[in-house]
Amino acid sequence: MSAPLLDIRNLSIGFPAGKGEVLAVNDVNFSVAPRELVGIVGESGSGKSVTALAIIGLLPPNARVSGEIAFAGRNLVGLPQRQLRGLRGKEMGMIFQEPMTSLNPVFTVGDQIVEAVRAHEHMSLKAARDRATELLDKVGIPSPRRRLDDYPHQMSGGMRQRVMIAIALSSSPKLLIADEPTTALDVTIQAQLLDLLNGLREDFGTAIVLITHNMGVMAEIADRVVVMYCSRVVEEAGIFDLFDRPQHPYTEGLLGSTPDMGETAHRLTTIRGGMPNPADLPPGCLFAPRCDKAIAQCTTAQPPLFELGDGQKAACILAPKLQTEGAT
Amino acid sequence: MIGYTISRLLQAIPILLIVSLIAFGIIHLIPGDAATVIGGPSATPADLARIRENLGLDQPLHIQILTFYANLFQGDLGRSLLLGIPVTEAVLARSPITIGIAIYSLVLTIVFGLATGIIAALNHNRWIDQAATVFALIGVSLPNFWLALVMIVLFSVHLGWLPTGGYVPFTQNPIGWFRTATMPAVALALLQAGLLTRITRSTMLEVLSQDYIRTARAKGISEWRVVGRHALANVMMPVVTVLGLILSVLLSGSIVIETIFGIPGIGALLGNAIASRDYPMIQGGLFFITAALLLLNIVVDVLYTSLDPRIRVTGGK
Amino acid sequence: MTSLSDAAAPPRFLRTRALVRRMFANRAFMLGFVLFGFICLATLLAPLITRLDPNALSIRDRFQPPSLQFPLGTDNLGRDMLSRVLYGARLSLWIGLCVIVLNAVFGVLLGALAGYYRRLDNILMRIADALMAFPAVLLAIGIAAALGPSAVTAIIALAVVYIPRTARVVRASILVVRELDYVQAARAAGATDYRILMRHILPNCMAPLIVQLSFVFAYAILSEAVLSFLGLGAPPTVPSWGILISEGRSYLREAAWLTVVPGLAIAITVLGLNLLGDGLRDVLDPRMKVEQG
Repeated sequence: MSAPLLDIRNLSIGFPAGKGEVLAVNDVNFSVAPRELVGIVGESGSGKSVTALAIIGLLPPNARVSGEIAFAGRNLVGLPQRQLRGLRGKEMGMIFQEPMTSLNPVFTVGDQIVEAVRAHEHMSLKAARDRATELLDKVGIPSPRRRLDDYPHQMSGGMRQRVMIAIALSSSPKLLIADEPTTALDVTIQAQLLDLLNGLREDFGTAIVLITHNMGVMAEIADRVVVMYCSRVVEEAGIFDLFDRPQHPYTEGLLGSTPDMGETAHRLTTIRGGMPNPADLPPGCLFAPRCDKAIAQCTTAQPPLFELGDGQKAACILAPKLQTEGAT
Repeated sequence: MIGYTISRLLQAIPILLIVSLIAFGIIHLIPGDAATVIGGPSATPADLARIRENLGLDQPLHIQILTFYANLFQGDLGRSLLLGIPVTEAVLARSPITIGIAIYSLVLTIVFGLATGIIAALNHNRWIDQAATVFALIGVSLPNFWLALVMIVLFSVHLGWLPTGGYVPFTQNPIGWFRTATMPAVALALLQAGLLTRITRSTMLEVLSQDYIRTARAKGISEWRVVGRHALANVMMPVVTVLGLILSVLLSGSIVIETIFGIPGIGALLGNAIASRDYPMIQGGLFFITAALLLLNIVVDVLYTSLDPRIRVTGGK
Repeated sequence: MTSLSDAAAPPRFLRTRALVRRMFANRAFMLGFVLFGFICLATLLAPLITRLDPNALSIRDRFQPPSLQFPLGTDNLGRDMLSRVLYGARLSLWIGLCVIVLNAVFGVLLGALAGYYRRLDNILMRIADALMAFPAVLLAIGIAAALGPSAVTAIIALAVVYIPRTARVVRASILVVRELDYVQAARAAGATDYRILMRHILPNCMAPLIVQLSFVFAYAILSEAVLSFLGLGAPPTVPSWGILISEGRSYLREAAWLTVVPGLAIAITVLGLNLLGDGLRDVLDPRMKVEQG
């Protein structure tokens, strides 16, 4: 395995709330190799989007960040905005959940792509427009030259998301962060966009961090998945391991509540209860109150992330035991 | 685009008709005999009869209305009792002065209101934001004629920097114009600048939280460009829509302000008309200003539609 | 039937104690309350604050700058400015109060008719549009100029100017409320128009109405000052703030306080009302709020 492109170590992100501080991201570790597609999965509020914003340096100014975000060997935490700006759009790009509102309504899409192209490269307007046309073509927009002069409202959600991808890819970044890129789109378009992302990974050699709450999307394109629950990583595994033998009850629950995973029709299970209030966390394992397998021990201490072999890790005290039992 | 303009003009016609009817009706609001009020206590019966005849008050009401509209369509708003010249002539002759000061004041309003609103929004919840909010609130709470008087006390009486009043045409002496027009323009601008600051600030705060601003930041462009291009282009829209209101407040303020500073514009013309019960002048001036504002509002709306691509392409509402 | 109308009863948000608590937790409301309350209190207690007659002439004391004896100085006829400003407040506030009462009555009536009866809507709103096409102060000046200078004139002129604006606010919120489920349910259950209007729709339009009225109060005070300044308000023997400024204007050089003081009184009152309006809007009607500072 080559050196990781992105290496996140002990990342914690807090926001002031009342007198104290609420941790949106709590001691998160994971890494992304070049060209790898790593999925981060979790419910809304699990800290996955905050993690994404931290990587690209777009956290709100009141966020307090500790730990390390090493990108191509350089720690981004504490880097001045000026230098982060040099990386944004050049070395890493980002696409967001809401294609309908993510493009500026008063400028043409061509304008907005050209701006991204010229943000980091000195280029004539004409050359930039050619490059924008090329990009639109790459993301699968028909008659791209003509569409350059369209305004966002003249395009469908799927098309706009393609434009967003074109903007993100404008200077062939090493890393693309996609925060729920398909959630707002309907299912057929979802599949097309996932194919597109997957194809672009080959063409541009871009590593992708894909954030979603949809296990089906993960199954389709992720190499590896990081499962987040309540600001912490609870499981990390290769895509096959994760689906074949999830080690954390929360992952199991997520898989159980995803439709069309198997051929046979089975009852969809749901995870009972809701996430605990981040300002009032239970002691011990944060998932214990909702866990069917919880034992007395679970409520005493937060379990660490156990290494389970093959790069699989799970933060459940039952995981190593299950592992050894399974082995015998 | 042209279709939209035409439809807006057509919509304005019934409003203009009612506006003219109200303007016409003002003289009939006078309690008792209008001619006695206009003529004053010293008027002889012959004077009163002449006044009635001049104003058509001796005719039945429906004839008066018909005559009023017949004249209106010829651009005839009646004859000023005080000046003895047609109202239209008097208003048109004075309007360049009022328009000049109005533009000066509008520029001050926009520059100051936009800048303060934007700076406040960019420093949300910091002292500079609070200061701007307080300034804007005080601005919308001060009577502008009082502000004019206080400025005269300060800048003319005590400091002697500017003349207490009077007017020098711009074409004659631009510096003189600035010296005489600045205090009136500032007095007129303050209220609207406060209003515009409030609108700009809240719009800017809303725009800054939009997804497309995050997209722009994700491109790695400078914060200047994010605010100056992406945010400002979107802030301008609601600002354009309040231009009509701003102009309206500006023109109605000009009556008092021009009277105070002795500026011979439409405002002072109306102020004198009120003081001397020159009703044709009051009616005509009221109608003229309102009609002009209606037209200006249509221009602003058309401008707005051509600025916003979302409306522009679909061709209006 | 009983249970339906109970379930459909409008929220009694205007009466709850929680609301009062939220209002006083709102900084704008509190500040506005203090400022406006200060002015109202001073007006009510005027005879206790000053023993001097606002119209008592004392030529020997003319143009006295503010001192212990005359806290706000005296005017060209030696009349005490403090008592003139305090008694002047009565007229200014009284005119403002009359204007908002008229506004509430006719604004609600016309707004409700327009919002509830589609056929009336068109004609009423065209008239409102025409009245609103006039610059507010200008129309008030025109009407007052015809009616002749008096306090009643000022009240009528200002009411005519601001009623269409209030009616529009009421109409807009009625158009929203009438489509709500519980109103539809009441209609389906056979409630009369009158009953629906009084019991379901009007209580829900109160919030925007109260907010609107507090701003109208502020505009009315400002506009009344303009009318008085132009000699179209109360006749000069009764001091209103606008008249005081107008009188002081002749003595800007020798006695600037004659102008400054009543203007400050107007500014404080209007500022207080604007703050009250902002605060009420934040608390009562979150929909109208663009953002919270």
